[in-house]
Amino acid sequence: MDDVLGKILAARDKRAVLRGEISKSGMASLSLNFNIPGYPKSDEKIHLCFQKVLSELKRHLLSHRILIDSSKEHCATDEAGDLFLVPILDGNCVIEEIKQITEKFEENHTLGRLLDVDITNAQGDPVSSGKAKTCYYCSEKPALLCMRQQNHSYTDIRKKINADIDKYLNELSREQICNDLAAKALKSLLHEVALSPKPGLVDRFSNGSHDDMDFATFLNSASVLSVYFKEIANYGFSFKHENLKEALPELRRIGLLMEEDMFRETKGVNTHKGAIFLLGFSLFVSAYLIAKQRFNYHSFVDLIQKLNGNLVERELGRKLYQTKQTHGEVCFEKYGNKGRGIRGEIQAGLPCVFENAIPVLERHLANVEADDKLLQKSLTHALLALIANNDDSNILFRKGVDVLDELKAKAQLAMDCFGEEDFENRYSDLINYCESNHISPGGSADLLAVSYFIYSLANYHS
Amino acid sequence: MTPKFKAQAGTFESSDIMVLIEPVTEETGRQIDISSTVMLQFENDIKTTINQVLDELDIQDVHLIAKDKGALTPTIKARVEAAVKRSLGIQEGTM
Repeated sequence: MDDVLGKILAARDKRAVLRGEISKSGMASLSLNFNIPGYPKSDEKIHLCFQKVLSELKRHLLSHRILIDSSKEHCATDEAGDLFLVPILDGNCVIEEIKQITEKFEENHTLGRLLDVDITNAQGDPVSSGKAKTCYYCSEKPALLCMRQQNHSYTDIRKKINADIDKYLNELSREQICNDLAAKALKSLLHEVALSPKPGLVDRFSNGSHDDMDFATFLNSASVLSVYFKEIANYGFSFKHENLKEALPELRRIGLLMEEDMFRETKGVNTHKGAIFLLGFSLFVSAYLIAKQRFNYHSFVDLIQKLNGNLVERELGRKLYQTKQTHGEVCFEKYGNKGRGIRGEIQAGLPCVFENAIPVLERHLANVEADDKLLQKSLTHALLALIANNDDSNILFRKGVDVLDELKAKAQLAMDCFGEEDFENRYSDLINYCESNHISPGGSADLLAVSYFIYSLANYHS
Repeated sequence: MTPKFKAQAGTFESSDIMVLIEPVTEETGRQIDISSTVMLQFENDIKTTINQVLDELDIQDVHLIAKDKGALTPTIKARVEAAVKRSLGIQEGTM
């Protein structure tokens, strides 16, 4: 007898014994295995896929209130492949109903016929629905017909299985990564606004230099924006075009939609326009790079720059809106490079983020589980690093170059004595200066949020 | 040779076949009952394969019951052979 076949049959015998033991104890059982023709029946990738499908199956069972005895579950990989076998706890379920529910799981799953959920009743007999399943490979003829007539070669079937598993695993990781990116984007907005006290900015306890918005306005605004984060991440993860700039119209479309929703929610107050711009690009680029397993700060900056090109010349040099100049356009005309604002920051590859804020965050947060206190401390430090270096065109537009330079100098002073006795005084000085002069370093607040977002992607570095 | 004991080989797992052997008195010939849970279309194929194995092992008088779950020919051969050998008492097995 062929050695491989012998091993496979022996492994099946063992399975039958395990099933028999469960039915001997008077219980029905449920099993999951993959229909893999040829040999070996499992490998690293198939096993990983099996584990993922198994988690889905367990969720499916629990959500249909089918209880299994997890303390007696058997999960192993042998010559016959991966197997999960577990007794079904006696509930009020009729065994045929359980069979129908597991069949629904098989039918709705992307891997479909590859998976096999078998139910054995308490008498030890397989419960069959009597339905003839169609072939996994051709989806036309009955599975048993193709199997017995060997209509498809093992190589072809294994190729299809491999491709289907790749697709499934990729889909799962896309879902997981995009969820994570969307949550991190919202987190960064929330932690930025919750940081208190802040100079001139809205925080938990103060409206800063603002009289048209408060803490609640920011929470509301962040909430409506959060709806779009996953959409942007998905777009980046699945983006296939070689020229990244092809993504710009769609990114702008989503960005405009976010702005509209933000203004509707805040009744016309600009809470997050800068953040939408920065986080939007950052979400897209990080998802794009993570999908290609190429995420690191260097390639991030590289792509942000490629995506935007000469943004300053292109957008600030010509009027986008015919009615009136935007603040950004006025600043660029008046102050040149110092007035390039956020477009200049992006075009230069976000130097404030990567050279000023992230190094500070790394120093405080690397390898520690940050509680609120530590987070407040490190974000305050990073915010100062940003204010001290950022030519915020909003301040430039409203207050002029002298005020901007004075603000930067004050922030630098506070920054220089961070962690020292004098710090509280210097920081209070800065806060008072901003509030009495109605200065709001909102641009730096946006950069803080995006810095924290990018920093929080550290675990994706490759 | 004539089977002396009741014996079985195989499982109800997919792509397998369960083969049961019952001894009969000599000169009664072969009685082969096949049931497939899904399709009887291959009954003759399966029967041919079973007869081949029985010929090879020189078994003339036997009652063989096969419950097919889509087994391929090599699997059928292996299971029938194991069941027969168990019924002859020349191979260990469960019953």
